Amino acid sequence: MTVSKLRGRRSFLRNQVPFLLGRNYDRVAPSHVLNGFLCAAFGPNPSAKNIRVLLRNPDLLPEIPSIAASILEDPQHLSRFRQAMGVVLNADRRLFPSGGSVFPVSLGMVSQHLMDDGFGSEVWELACACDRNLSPRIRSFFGAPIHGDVLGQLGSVLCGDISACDPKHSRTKPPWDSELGATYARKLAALLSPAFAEAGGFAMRSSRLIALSSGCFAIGFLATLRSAEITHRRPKTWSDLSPMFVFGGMPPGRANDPATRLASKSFATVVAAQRDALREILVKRLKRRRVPASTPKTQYARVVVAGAFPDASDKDQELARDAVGRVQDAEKVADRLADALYPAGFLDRGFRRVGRKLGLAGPDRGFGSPRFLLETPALALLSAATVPPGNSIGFRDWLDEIFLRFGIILGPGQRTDCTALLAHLDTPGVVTSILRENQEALRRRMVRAGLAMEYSDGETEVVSPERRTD
Amino acid sequence: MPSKFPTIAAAAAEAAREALDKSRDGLARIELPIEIAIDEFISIVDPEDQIRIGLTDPFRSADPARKRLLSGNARQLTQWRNRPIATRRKNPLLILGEAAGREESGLRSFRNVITEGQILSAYSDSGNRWLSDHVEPKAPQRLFTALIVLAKQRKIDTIDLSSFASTVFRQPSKAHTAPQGQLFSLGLIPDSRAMDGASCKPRLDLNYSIVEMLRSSPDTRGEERQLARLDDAAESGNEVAIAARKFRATGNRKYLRGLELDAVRELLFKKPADPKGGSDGPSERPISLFDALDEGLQDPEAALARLGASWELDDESVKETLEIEGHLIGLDMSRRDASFAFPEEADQVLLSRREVGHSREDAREEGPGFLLNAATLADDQLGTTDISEATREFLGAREKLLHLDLWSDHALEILLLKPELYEAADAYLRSWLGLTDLVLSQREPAKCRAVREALALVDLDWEYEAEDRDALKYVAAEMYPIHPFVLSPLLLIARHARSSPNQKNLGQQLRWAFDRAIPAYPAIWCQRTSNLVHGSGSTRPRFAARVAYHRPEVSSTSGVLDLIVSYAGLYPFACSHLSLLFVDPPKGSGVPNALRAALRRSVVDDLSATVLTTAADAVDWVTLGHRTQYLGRQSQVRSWAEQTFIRANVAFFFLPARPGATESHHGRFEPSRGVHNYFTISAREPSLTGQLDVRDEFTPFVALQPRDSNEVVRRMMEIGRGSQDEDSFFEVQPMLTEDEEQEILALAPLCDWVVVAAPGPMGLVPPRRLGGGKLLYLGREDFGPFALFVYCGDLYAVRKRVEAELTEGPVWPVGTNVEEHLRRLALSVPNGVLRIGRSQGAVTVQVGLMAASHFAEHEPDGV
Repeated sequence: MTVSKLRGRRSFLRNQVPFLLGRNYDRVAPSHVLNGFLCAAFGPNPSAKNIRVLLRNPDLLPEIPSIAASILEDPQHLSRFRQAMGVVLNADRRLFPSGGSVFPVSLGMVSQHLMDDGFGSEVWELACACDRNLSPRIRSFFGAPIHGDVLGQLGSVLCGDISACDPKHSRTKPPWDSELGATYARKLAALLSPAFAEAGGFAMRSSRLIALSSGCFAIGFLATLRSAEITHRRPKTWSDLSPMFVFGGMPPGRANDPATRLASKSFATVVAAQRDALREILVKRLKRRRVPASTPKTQYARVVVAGAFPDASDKDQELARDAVGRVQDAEKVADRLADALYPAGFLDRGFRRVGRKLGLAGPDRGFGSPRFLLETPALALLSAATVPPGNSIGFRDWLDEIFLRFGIILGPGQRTDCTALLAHLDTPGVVTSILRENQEALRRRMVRAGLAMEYSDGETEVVSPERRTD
Repeated sequence: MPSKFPTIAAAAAEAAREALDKSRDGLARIELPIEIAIDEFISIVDPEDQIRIGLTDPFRSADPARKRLLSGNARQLTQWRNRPIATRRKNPLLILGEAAGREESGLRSFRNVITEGQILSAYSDSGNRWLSDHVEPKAPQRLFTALIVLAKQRKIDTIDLSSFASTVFRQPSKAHTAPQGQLFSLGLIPDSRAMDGASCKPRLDLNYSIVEMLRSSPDTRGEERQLARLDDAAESGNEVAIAARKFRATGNRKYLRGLELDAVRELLFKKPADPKGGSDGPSERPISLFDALDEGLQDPEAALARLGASWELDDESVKETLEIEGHLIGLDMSRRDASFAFPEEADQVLLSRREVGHSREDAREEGPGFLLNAATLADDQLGTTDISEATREFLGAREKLLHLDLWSDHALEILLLKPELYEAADAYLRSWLGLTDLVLSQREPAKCRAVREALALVDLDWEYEAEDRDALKYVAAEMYPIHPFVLSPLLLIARHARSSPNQKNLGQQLRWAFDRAIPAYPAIWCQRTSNLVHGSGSTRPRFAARVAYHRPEVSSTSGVLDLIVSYAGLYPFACSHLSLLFVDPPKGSGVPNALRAALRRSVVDDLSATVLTTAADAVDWVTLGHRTQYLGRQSQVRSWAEQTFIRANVAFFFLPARPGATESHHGRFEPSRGVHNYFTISAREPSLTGQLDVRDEFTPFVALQPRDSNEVVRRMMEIGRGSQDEDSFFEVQPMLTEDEEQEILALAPLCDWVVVAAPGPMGLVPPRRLGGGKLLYLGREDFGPFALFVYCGDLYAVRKRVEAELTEGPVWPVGTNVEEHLRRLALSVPNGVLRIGRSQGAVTVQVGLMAASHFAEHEPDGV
């Protein structure tokens, strides 16, 4: 039972490895992460409680002064009002009587809870460290509504004035200090840029909020996927990390498709690399802690765990001691702790579950081995984050850009030989063929989805969503 | 000196040449493998320098020896393409590569595009031609064909295959011995048994899967253990393990040289030393828990305990393979994400109610207070505290069923593997019985009405039609997996398994019972509204006032497999390839497992299945495996059958369950002792308002009544009984409709046997003949909750089989007489005729039965 109690506890490595996959990864959803992000930025708002009462507690009357008495006094009207508000504010049904998040059309709807498993605040710290102007931009994003901004007006009616919200103190350095880590953090932060694009205007608040929510969630997933490895290896280029090949065809892909197989292998490799990295970090921490030779065998675990993980709570330390037993070798202790914190299949399932909600991993449990893939909304997010508004970029150049920014391999590559990066996953000839086919399948998908344009001379360009809007 | 084995470049050139010869426009594009020998290709495809050759990506940077009529410039190529057709016929244009670059759009979509798959097919043809000309044994051809399939699946590299084949088939005299040892050059492990099987593909697939496992990161505990064994062996100096580990670390195939597939498998799947003296080693594939119980474990209790201890109920899923008593037993289960009865953020939910059409999230949930308030009210009126105490005990026991609810998709396995959950479920059921007993035994029932009504609603998700809130009209309900209707039969089955774990074929028994026993009764009763009838689902059964036609799920394999065996026995030509047609096969693992078992047990060498659906509740055809062809969804089987060209050996036509009803039934025969339910079959008098042709016919009806020992159902019936009215029982009319009969007759010309599968509770009263004698009844088998009724056009094959057996005996069988006796046998012994196909000795037994039946009929004294 000790194993299951320790599984996913973040307190052991939290101060060293950001974006650790937590114990309750099942709960993490885009609206929760956005809520946590805003909560970290501006703090919780007391009026959020009333929104929850309005939407999920039919037995209580919401204390929202702006709701007319004719609605509050008539049960039928109130019920219809609750349902109508539920459609707008709780469309993904991630709000529960005791926790959860609404679609935050106003900062007044932000509440404090644990449903984002800690991702929201970490995303805020990363984004804020990479963009000093983020706080004012978000404040203006949620600022006073102008004419035509229906959602903004609804938010201010329900929550009143939210000008009292103060931005919180945040980290000033990116979470990883290695060369690639710092760049990666900046590129991840750029995933929020589509939400702040000027062209949309306030009339597009809903789509911009969705972009903000997807951006936060994507930052959380892509960061957690690589965090341990980046922290441990301090890489300079993507070739220093395990290769992330993403299936480019129509998700989730047939099980016997070569590209699907390669994507599955890549997923397994990335997961194994994270687990190895976490174990190595544990080893380092434990070895750094010198234990006097005279320490009795029965006390070794207590001393080494307390010394190596002083930030862990007493309860976690006790669980860790139980898991370690009487082992006296640092590597063996690390093995046992790694087994207890991240047992076989835990990271695998976690990345799959979180990635599936974003559309970057899948398929759903029980439908085949996990793999990296790109659902169309995720593809749109990547294209919006990489192609400047109103511009376009050649398809193959865009693939290179995606690799250089996020380490995502989608084709053979022009500037980097991606075949070589994947060589250890299959025979080089097979990998070459798969990469070419994957690139072509993705190109066709993007053209069909309106994310790219194919010209009569055979050239394909990825276009920015803003240009399509115009 | 024999000619050389063809190369992939030669085969590609041949394919290109053929495409250009056939094309009228003199244009073709070929997608060559990237590392192909370009010079060789060009020299073969165009020895006379007449073809214009265009180089596009990835061959743009190639530097072939030939320089004339060759270009990598897209504009030049477009000019060549735009030449007059007469010029192009004289100097055709062949584009090499994908033509996906700038200004190459017009070069991409030629009418003739030769893909890598077509090149491999051409290579396969030329290679097999060479092998049949130069090599006498057929095994090398089989291996080569299987390798081509692997290359098409991108499991091995095309160019590697070409150089491999050129090397190993250099000397025809060694063509049957050289390839096995050289497999390493393809990234496979050398395998001396690669050519031993009737088909090389399974062995090569096994080889590839092991290489993949060595190359990949372990993603299950089983794989971790296997790789740990490899590491242990390497550390103890085992050379095979050292080489395999080097390959794993570097991916360099040179380390595979000198290995042997069986030796690597031995290392990975090595059975731990057995102190009692080993057996032959573990089987190749893990078997399921139920299959393991069928195999007859020596110490099943210890095996269950070990399997149960290998994972935690908190795990999200379990994918474990354990070696127990020489068997590899696999557990592959996953739990649901959330429990409706036990939400994470709130108290337990006893029931939920929502208006029809609303989603579950909008349902109004009732917590423990709902039942406690009713119990307190009853106690206040009766002046006792017993009911409240029993209610608290009930709620306390219910709280411990969270994991059972989460793992309900594998409820039976969980009850067998986790004793603590079995105990919790048992305690819950006992507390429910205690509470209901207390409520029903009160002398003043009116004072307990509220608690009785509340108990009838517990553990269900109700849907109601909008009326006055105080008088909801329930129209549908879905049971939670912990409802006594589900839990009670599950516990009984689990108890049987636990009490007699050494029984022969215990796994089959459990599957058989599971398919039939849940829910405990196909109807539920609720006050003041019409009663609801079982519609679909087993561990989460759904009941409704108006039930749509549906097909129950099946997990057992026996019936379909038995029929395949019978057919293959009676029609020996089908052993090499059996073709099956399934119309609306039911969900569940039954059909896919039966097909796999037929192949695994070598009943037939190969089989193919064609699936047609008319309803959404049929099996996901993908699960039937790659041998399946899906024809899509048709509204009418009859019109489809009249137009189709598809033919099959056996057609399975799965009928939906008859929509039953709860009717007042006189229940002439009192319930007997035993478990579960029993039937009363009765004939209704002719209806004066019925159709003209059936006005004189009695209509058979089957009523289902719970036995005395089916305590849960009896209690629920009493709780739901609003007055002193007569009890209503589930009732069904087990007759084929005219439309169904026409559809069956329409399938008859497409196949030898038509199998009509009718689901329970009683199945069907099978007609002796269909379509005025067009189809003859051959017998029946059971397939989970379905009864399979077999019909055929004539008895020729069966008669010949019987006559062949009788030729050595002192009898002179007359064809018409034999057929007449076979017809009688089909009616008197359910699967008598079908058994004739199953084994050599079966004919004698059935002939004996026919003779005994004949003599008994003509000489009643048994003389």
